[in-house]
Amino acid sequence: MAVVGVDLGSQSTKVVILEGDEIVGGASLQTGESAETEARMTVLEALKQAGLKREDLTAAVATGTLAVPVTANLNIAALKTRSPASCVAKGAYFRFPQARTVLYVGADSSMAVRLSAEGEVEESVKNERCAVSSGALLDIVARMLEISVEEMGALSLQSTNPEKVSSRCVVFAEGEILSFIHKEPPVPIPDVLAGANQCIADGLWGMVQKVGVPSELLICGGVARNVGLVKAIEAHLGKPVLLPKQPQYVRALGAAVFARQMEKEGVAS
Amino acid sequence: MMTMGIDVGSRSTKCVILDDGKLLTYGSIETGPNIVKTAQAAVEAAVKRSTGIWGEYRMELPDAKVDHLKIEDMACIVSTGYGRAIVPFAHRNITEITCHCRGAQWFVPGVSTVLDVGGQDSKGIRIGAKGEVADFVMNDKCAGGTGRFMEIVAEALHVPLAEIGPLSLQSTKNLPFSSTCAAFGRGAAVTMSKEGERKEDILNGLHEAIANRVMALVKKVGIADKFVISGGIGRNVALVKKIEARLDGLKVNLPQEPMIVGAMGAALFALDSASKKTGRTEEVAG
Repeated sequence: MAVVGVDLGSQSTKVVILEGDEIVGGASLQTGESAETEARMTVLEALKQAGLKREDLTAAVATGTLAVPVTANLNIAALKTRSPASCVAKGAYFRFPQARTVLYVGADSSMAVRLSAEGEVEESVKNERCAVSSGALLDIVARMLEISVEEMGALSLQSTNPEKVSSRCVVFAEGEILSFIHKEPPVPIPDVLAGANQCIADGLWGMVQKVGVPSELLICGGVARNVGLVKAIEAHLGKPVLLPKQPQYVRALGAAVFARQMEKEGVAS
Repeated sequence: MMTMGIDVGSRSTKCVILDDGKLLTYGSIETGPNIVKTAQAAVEAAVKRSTGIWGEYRMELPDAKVDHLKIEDMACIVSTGYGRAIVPFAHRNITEITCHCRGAQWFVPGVSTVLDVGGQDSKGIRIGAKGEVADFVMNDKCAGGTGRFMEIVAEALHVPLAEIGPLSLQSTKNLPFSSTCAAFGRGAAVTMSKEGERKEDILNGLHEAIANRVMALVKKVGIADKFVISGGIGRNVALVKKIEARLDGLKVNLPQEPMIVGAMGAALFALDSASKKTGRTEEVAG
C-alpha cells in the first residue's frame, strides 16, 4: 500500500513515495516547458527507486505552484491537490513534531507557517508581492557565478567581510551584485555570497516575525540547502534551527502524508 | 556652434547633437558594463546615425554630413542619467529630472506634467509656470513599475520587446497579471501560459498592472494639461493608450522620439553654457 506526494514547484518537481511511515522513494527533476511530462517522469523515477509499479499507488496528492493545471492531466488514480502551506506543515511535522514555526524557502516562493502542537496550520504568511524574501535572488546569483546552492552556502561561510546589498528589490540587487563582481578589483566571491544571503535572510526573518517568533523553527525548501542562509537565519533566531536532511522534499513529503491519510480514511469508510 | 547632450541610462545611452539649438543628429546604444566606453559608443552612434535596438528614426534629421564630427568639435557637452558623473568628456553633469523637464518643453511647449518610465526607474515631474521643476517623485526602489518588468515578461514569453505593445492590443480577455513583482514576472508569465492563457491576454494584464503603478506614482505630483510621456514606455502604444484612459479626458502628448527627452535637455543646457562663454569672455580658471 504505497502513496505518492507530488510537489510541482516552479523550478523543480519533487516526488516522495510513502509506504506506511517509511519513505521508500524520492526523486526530483527540473520543471521544464511542460510541467506535466516532468511530473510523470519524476513519479516513474521514484517508483523505480522504491521498486514499485504505478498500480501499487493507492492515493496521490499534489501541491505546489503548478499543481492545479498539471494534475488534471496526470492521470493517477485518486489524485487530489492540497495547498502548499498545509503540505509544508504536514511534511515538517512528520519529520520534527516539535517544530512550531516552519520557514519554507523555495526558488521563487516562500512562506512562514505557525503550527499547533498537533501540527495544524494556525497562521501562515506567504510571500507573493515582492521577491526580496524568497530564493529568487540566490537563484540568480547561483546562475551568475555558475555555482550550485550547496556550494554557495559553503563558500559564503568563508567570507570575512560581507559586501552589503543595499537594494531591496531582487531585480536591482541583481544589478548591484553584478557590479560587485565587475569592480576593480572584484569583491571576493565569498563576500558577495554572504551579502546576498544576508539580504535574503533579513527579508525572510521579517516574514517569520509576522507569524510570531517561534520556540522551535524549522527551515525547509530547496534554498535551505544553502548553509550560509541557514546560519544567517540562526543569527536572527539566536539558536540553531531544525534542519531536515534533504529539505527540498519536505513539501512533497507533506503531500504524501496527506495521501496516506486519504487512503486510511478511504479504508475506514 | 555645436553642443551635445548625453543621457547614460541604466539600459540605454542616448546622445543628441544640436547645431545652434537645432537638432543635427542623435543616436543610442545599449548601456554596457563600462560607462566610459558606452558614452563614447553613444557619440559614435549619433554621428553614424544609428539607434541600435530601437529601429528606425522617428524624427527628420537635416541632410548634413555628420559622420566626421568629433567630441572636440563640441562647444559644450552635458551629461545626465544614472551614469552622468562618469562621462569623462562631459563639461558638466545635470540630474535627469532637470534635463527631462527642459527636454520635455522643447518637444511640447507648455508641458505641465512629465511621466518618464525608463529601464530601471520611473519618475513624475511637475513643471511650474516658468518652466522650472516644481515637484518630482521617483521610484528607483522597486522594479515593479519600470521597463525592466516588461523586459522580463517579454523574454519569458519569447516576444521581442518592441512587439509586446501591439500584441497586447489584440487581447480579448481581461486577465489580471498575477504578480506585482518584476522578479516573479517570469514565473508568473510562464505559469499563466502553462495554464493555457494566450500571450496577448497575459501581456494585456501586464500593461494594466504597469499603467496602474506608474499612474499612482505620477498622481503624487499632480496631473495637469499638458501631460507628456517620455522614456522607453513612450514607444509602447498599448501602455500609452492605457495611461491615456486613466487621465480623465486629458490627452497624452507624446514626443516624436520619447527616448531622447533627457539627452535633448542636456544638449540645451550645454547650449546655454556655450552661449554664455562666447557671449562674454569668462576668466579661464587657473
